[in-house]
Amino acid sequence: MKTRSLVSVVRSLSPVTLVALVVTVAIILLAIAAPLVAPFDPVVLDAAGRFAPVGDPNHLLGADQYGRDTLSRLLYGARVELLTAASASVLSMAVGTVIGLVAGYYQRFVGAVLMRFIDVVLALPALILALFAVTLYGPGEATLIIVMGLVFTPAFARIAYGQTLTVAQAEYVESARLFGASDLAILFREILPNILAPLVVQFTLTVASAILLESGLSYLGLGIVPPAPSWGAMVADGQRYMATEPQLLLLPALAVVISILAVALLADGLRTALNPRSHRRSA
Amino acid sequence: MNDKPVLEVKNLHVSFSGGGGYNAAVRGIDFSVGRREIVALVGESGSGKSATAMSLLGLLPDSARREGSIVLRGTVDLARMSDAGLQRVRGQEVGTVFQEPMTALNPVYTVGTQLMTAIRAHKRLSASDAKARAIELLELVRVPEPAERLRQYPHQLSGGQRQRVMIAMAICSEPDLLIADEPTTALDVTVQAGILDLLRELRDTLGMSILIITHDMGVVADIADTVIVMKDGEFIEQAPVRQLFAEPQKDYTKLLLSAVPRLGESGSPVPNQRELDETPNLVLDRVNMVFSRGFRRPPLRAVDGVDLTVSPSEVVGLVGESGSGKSTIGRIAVGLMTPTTGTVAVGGVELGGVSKRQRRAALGGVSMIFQDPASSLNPRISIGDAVTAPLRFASERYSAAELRDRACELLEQVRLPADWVSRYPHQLSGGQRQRVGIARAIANKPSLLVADEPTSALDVSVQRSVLELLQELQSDLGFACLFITHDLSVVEQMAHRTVVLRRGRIVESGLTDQLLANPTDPYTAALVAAAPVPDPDIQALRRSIRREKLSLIANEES
Repeated sequence: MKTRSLVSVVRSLSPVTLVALVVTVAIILLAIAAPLVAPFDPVVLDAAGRFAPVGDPNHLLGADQYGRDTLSRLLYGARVELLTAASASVLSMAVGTVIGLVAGYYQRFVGAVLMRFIDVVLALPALILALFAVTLYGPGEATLIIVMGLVFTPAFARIAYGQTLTVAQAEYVESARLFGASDLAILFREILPNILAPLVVQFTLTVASAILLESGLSYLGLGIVPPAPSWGAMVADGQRYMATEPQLLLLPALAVVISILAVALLADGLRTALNPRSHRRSA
Repeated sequence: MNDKPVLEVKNLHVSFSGGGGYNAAVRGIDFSVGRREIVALVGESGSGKSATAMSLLGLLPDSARREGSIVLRGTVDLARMSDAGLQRVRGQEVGTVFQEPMTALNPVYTVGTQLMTAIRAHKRLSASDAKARAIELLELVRVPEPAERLRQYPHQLSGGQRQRVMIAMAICSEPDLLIADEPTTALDVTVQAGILDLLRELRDTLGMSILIITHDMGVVADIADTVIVMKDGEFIEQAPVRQLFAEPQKDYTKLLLSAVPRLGESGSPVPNQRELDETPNLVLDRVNMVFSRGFRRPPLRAVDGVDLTVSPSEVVGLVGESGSGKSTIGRIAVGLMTPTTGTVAVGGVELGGVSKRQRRAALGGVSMIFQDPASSLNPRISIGDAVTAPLRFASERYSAAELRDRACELLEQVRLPADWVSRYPHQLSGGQRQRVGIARAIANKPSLLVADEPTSALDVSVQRSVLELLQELQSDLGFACLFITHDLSVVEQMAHRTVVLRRGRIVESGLTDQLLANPTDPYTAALVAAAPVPDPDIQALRRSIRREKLSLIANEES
C-alpha cells in the first residue's frame, strides 16, 4: 500500500480534528517540557501558599492543602498520565489485536485456546489483579502499565476477533490465498487494515478508561506513589475539599476531560482521513 | 369510476441529499397502472426504478425529497398524505413485496405470527379467524401444507416459499395494487418461474394490478402487459410489451434488448481439435466434499462423486442453481478447499499426494475470477497493487518498477486506462471493478482460470462487454477455463462443453449446443425451459412447457 505523505493527511483533516490535533500535540509537548515550564517543583511544600486560590500571584492555578503548586502538578501529572495511560492502551491494543487476528484467522484449535485465555483475563477483576501485581512487584508506573495493559487487552482481542471472522470470509482474502500470499501477509496486509477502524475507536475509549482506572488505583495507593503527581490522585485528593475549594477537584478533572476529548476527536478524524473510501472520486 | 387507473403518477421527482446538495434520482416520471394491468418498470442499476417504487408509499429515507403527484384510484393523492394516512394505505390498499425474502421476514418469529400480525393490522379478527385466514392465504399462494408452515420459522422454508409468504402478507387485505421490487432476483430460475406464474394467477383471481420493478428483460417478457424503461432517473420509453420487444423506439431500449443474452440464439463456441495425449489442465476424480453441520444434524454432501476434466484451451461451463455445489467445486479446483475424498490433479500434478512446494508450483498456473467485484478487491489496496498481487506472492521476484509497468499493461489488456493504477476500488463502477478482477486473474499468465459467476452481479449491458472481454482474452491467451454460472444463456455464449450440477451431483454433461438443444435429463430440461427468454411471444409458448417440466421435477422430489 502506498502511504500518503504526512502533509497531505494533515491537509485533509477537518477543522475540528485539526484543533484536536493541536491540543493533543500541545499536551504532549507540555508534558515533555514540564521541568522547563513548570514554575515549581510539583512535590515542594509551601506552607504559606496552602489553599491558594486560582489567580494567586505566586500560584497561578492555586495550590493544594500542602501548598503544592497546582499548575506544576498538572504539568508533571500529564507526563505520568501520558506514560501510563498511553503505554497501557498501546500495549493492550497491540497484544489484543494480534491475539484477535490470529484467533479469528486460525479458528479451530489456536483460536479456541487464545479466546479462552482472553475469557480468563476478562474474568479477573482489575482491582484484584492490581493488588496481586503490587504485592509482587510493588506499586509504580511499570506495574500500573502492565496491569492496565492486561485489563484492557480482552476488549481489543474480542473486537479484532469478531472483525477478523467477517473479513476473513471476504473474497479478497481468498484471492490473496489463492495467489500464494503467506499467512503473515494475509493477516497484516489484507485483514488488518480492514479491521483497524473499530480498534482505533476502542483505543480512544481505552485511553479514557486508563486515565480513570489510573486515578482509581492511585487513590487506593496501588498506582502512582504519592507525592508524585497524577491527575487521578489529584482528583481523589481534591474530592475531600470539594465544598470549600472546588478548584482542587475541577482543575485536574478538566485536564482529564480535555485530554480525553482531544484524543477521541483526533482518532475519529484520523479514521475518516485514513479511509480511502472517504475521499472524493478524483476524475 | 372503474375504468380509472389504479395508480397515476405525474411528474415524480426524487432526490437524495448528499455532497452538500441534492442528487436527483428520479427526474420527472409519469406513468399509470390500469386495473388488472401488470406494469414493469425496467432499468439498470442507478436508473431510479427502486427509488420510484419506494417513493410511491413514502418509504424513502429522511434524506430524500419527493415532488409530484401520486394518485390512487383517481381520488387520493398519496403525495399529500400524512404519515398516519400512508400507514393505512400501505398493506391495506397497496401491498409490497421486496427483493430479499431472507431479510424481509423476521427470523425470530414464526411465519404464522408474522402473517397473522399483518392480517390483524388491517382487520379486526379473532386469533382463530386470523389463523383461518392465514391458512387460506397460504393456499392461495400455493404453499404446501399451510397449517404446518404457520408453525415454522423463516429459515425452515426455502427461498421460494419465503417469497410466497411475503406475497401472502402483501395481499392479505386484497389490495388493489401490488408493488413488487425485484421479487425474483434472489431466486433460482426454476423457482422464479413459479413465482411469476403465481403473480399472474393472483392478478386474474383477485383482480389486482401489479407494478413490478426489475432489471431482467426475461421477466418482463414473461409477465408484463406494459413496460416502462428508465435510465438515470429519466423516462425513456413506455409501450405495450409486444410492441416494445418488437419495435423499440429509443436507442437505449434497443441497446438494452440487444445486450440480453438470448438462449438458443447465439450458438456456442465449437471446441478446437486437440491432440488426445495432451495433459488436461484439471482433472477431478470422484470428488466428494462433506461439511459437518454440528451435533445431531446430518452432514451436508455439497459435492457428491464428481468427475470433471478441463483440457487445454477448453472452456467448460459448470451450471447449477444455488446449493448445487458449483462454487465448492470451483474452490476445490484452485486448491482453496481440499475435498473430503477423491483426487484433484492440476496440470497433471495430483494435489493431495505432493509436497507443499510442488503443490504451490502446480497451483502457480491457476487463477480465479470471483463473483462479487465489490468484495473480491481489498478496499484498502490500490488497483495497481491489486492486479499485481499474484506476481508479488509468486516465487519470482519483481522490482517495483517492473510491477508498475506490468500493472499498467494488465489494465490496458482489460481496457482500463493505465493511469488508474493508483485508484482505489470504491472509485470504480461494478463493471470496472470486475475488469480489475479479470486483470488480476490473468496477471500470472494462468493455464487454468476458474470464473465463479463473474457477471452475475453486473448489469446486462456491462455483463455483455465483460463476457466479450473474457472470450477475447481466452482466445488470445489460450487458458483453459472452468466457467461457473447459473445462467444458461451465459454458458451458451461462453462454453465449449457444459456440465449440469444438481445437489452436488453431475446430472448431465456434453457439448453445449447439443446439451441445450436436446437435454436428456429432466432437470436439465426444466432448467432450459425455466430460463426466461426476452421475447413475449416465445415466452408465452414456453410457459406451458415449463409448467409441465417443473411439475415433473417437483413430483420426483416428493
